[in-house]
Amino acid sequence: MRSISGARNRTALALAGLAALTAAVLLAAVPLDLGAAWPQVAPALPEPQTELARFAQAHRTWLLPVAAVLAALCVAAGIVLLRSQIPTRPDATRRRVLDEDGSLLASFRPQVLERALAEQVEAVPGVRSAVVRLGGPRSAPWIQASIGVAEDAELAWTIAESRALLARDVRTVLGADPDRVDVLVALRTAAARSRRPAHVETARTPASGPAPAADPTPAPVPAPAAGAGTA
Amino acid sequence: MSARPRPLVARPTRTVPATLLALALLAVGGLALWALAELLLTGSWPAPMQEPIAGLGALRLADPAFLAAAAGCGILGIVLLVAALRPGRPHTRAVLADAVPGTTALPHRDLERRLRARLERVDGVRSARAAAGPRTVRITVSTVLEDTAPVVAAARRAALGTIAEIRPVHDPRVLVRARRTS
Repeated sequence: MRSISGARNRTALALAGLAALTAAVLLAAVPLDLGAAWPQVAPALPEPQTELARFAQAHRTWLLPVAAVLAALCVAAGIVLLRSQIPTRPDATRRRVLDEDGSLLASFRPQVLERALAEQVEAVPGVRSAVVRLGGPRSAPWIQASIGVAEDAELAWTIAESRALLARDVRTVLGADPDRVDVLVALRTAAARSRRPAHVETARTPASGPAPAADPTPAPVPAPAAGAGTA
Repeated sequence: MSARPRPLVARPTRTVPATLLALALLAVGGLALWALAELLLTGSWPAPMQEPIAGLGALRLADPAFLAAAAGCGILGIVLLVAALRPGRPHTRAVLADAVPGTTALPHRDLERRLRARLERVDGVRSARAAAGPRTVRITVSTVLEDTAPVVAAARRAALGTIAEIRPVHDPRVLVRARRTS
């Protein structure tokens, strides 16, 4: 699942807000005669009747470099901030499957396991679609899934079964209990069966039809070995 | 292997104001860089900017135009700070907690749709609207009946039952009101 850093956006907005307020104070300092209210700053303020062009000419030596640096910083900050609006997904490196002696038995891309887990979840009665994302260190993997559930399904049972299945299968394959299993539920109407849950993009499986009526506890993903880790 | 995922029940990321800010920074910074580069290379401002810059240069520092610009900057700064500091409402609600560690989240709009569908099956209800927030669920049902009290009571029971099914981690307050339609 892709995400955008809200903390980064809010920090950028706060810094820009403070910069704008600072600019407001500097612009208003002379017209409002702030030097009268704060005599300490009075010597630093120019004469009120000074023309802007004359003021700029008098301070040209430092004003131009500062303006150039500020402009370059604005462009750089704009590019960084714009790029950070593109949702990113956490890095996903290959996972290794080890035997009890620590010998490498196999390695696989996380997407392989994510697809297998999604297919298992989609076999749970009531689940219309599933997208699974796996991450985290070998000792504490995490799972984040978006699960589309039929509106007429037994929601509590379906979600509990899906979460338990995800936790069980990851434990079986990777040999470690998942640190957390997060599930975003999307209630699906009959008309929306073919649609995917919102804001998911990875490990897609073919759209499933109506959920099977039997076999509420599908077989777990085959367990290749005792230990597993990341490359 | 990878960073923790973003929590499913999270405050808004402020993508729209951040994108607007990024575009404004790019535009202002790019324009300033171009003008300064032209000034350094040729000794004069770019032709399209000469007239506005001459106008600006003629302003005196005590001119009211500076006050207007300061007011604009001040308003912009306050708007940006409010966008940054105001938490905003999460779009999802934590529900169906169980023994497996982690969170199950349901979008508010899905709960609203489920409530609407359930309430429109209540006797006496012609149509229903639901607005779910983190703390409160507001429900408006329309009815043709003269006495709306039984309809409100039945709608409240149906709403509480529907909410109980999703076992919210924090129980919302349910406000139901009826609107008479002819």
